[in-house]
Amino acid sequence: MLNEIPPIVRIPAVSREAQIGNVFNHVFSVMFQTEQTDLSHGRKVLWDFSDCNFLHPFYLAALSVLKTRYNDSIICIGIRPIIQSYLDVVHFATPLEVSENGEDKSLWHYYSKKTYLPICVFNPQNRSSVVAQELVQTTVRAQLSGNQAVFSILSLLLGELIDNITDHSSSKNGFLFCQLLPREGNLYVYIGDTGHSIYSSYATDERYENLVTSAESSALALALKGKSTKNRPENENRGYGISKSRSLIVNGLKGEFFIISGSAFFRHDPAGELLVDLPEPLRWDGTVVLLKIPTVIPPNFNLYDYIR
Amino acid sequence: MKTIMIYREIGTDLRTRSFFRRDIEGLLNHDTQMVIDFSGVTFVSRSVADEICNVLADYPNLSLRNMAGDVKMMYDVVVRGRSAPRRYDDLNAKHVTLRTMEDLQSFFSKL
Repeated sequence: MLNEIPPIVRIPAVSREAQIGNVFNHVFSVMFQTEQTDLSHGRKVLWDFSDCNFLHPFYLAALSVLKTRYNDSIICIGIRPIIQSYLDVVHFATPLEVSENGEDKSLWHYYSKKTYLPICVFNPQNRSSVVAQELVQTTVRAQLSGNQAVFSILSLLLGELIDNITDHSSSKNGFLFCQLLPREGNLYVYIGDTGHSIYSSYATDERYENLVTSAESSALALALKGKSTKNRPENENRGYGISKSRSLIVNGLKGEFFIISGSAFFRHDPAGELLVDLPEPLRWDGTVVLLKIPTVIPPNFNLYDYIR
Repeated sequence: MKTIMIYREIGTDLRTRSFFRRDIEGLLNHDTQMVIDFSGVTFVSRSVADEICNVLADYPNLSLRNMAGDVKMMYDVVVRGRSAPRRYDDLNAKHVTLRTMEDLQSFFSKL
């Protein structure tokens, strides 16, 4: 059985100019095709990158996390040299494990000169999650010197969204990646986990038993409205992480905000909001939040308008 | 009176609610008057500011000192938010249920 020729999944190209929907389309397609093969018992799948001469930041990070999820079952082939060198420095094959102490300062110094961070994996239950946030900020501070507003916004967003992973996901791994595309004027941020989906958190909370249906989007809708599973009895002071982050990015900065959690997908951009239930058997393992943050801040923007 | 210097005990950047709670709990008791001193603290996330409010509610013998700049502003905004009635965000999302991979590809290719 191990001598079978592994199936090949072509990794579709996504050009710089492609609509963002194509990124998700291709991620889901790669996921679906890969999972057609039973990956147990050492079976392999080949991911063929021959068509790719550019990898959108969301595409890159999602494929890397998927590859991690499939353990050693994926073999990448057909990678052009220029893409290979980029994949190497962003730790595509094996995300960079962030330690609690963040002791390897020379590494951080190296990335502080880049427009990207390596794809990082951290333990949400220890201080490596804090070190990972500091790393993102090191990169952003260097790349956007003088742009204190973006720095402050990023501090707020990362704190909120990584807190959610720590408090809700029960995940052993959190993933963080950022890429600045200076000519485009956007910072792309990927924050994800491989733990419980948002649905799992709400489906087990009796306060929401009449609101959560069998569709995972029903729980995601509660999170997007700011309904928390963690409020203190005397004070509804939780649940701002997702709801205020998307408002800040879309209403405040005119950026874009995406979530994939289990079989639910959400997109919010200045054109509107879209909540999607994905077809079976597609299911993202855990939750990922994707942020497209413009680096030019609207003149009337006030960060504190988005904090409660 | 016991004074806890946050920059020394926990750090100057307080980013994560759960770690802040864990760290501060190890330094607190209910028996003596205590002051948390924020001298030297340069960043407090919204969730940590909120957790500071929770800690104050749980430890009436506790007070705060020397919050300044962005730290003070974040804390004040959170305190005001907690005392105001909670308003939940609207969700005006178009809801789509995709049944097949073909549906999905057709849908996302137009997004």
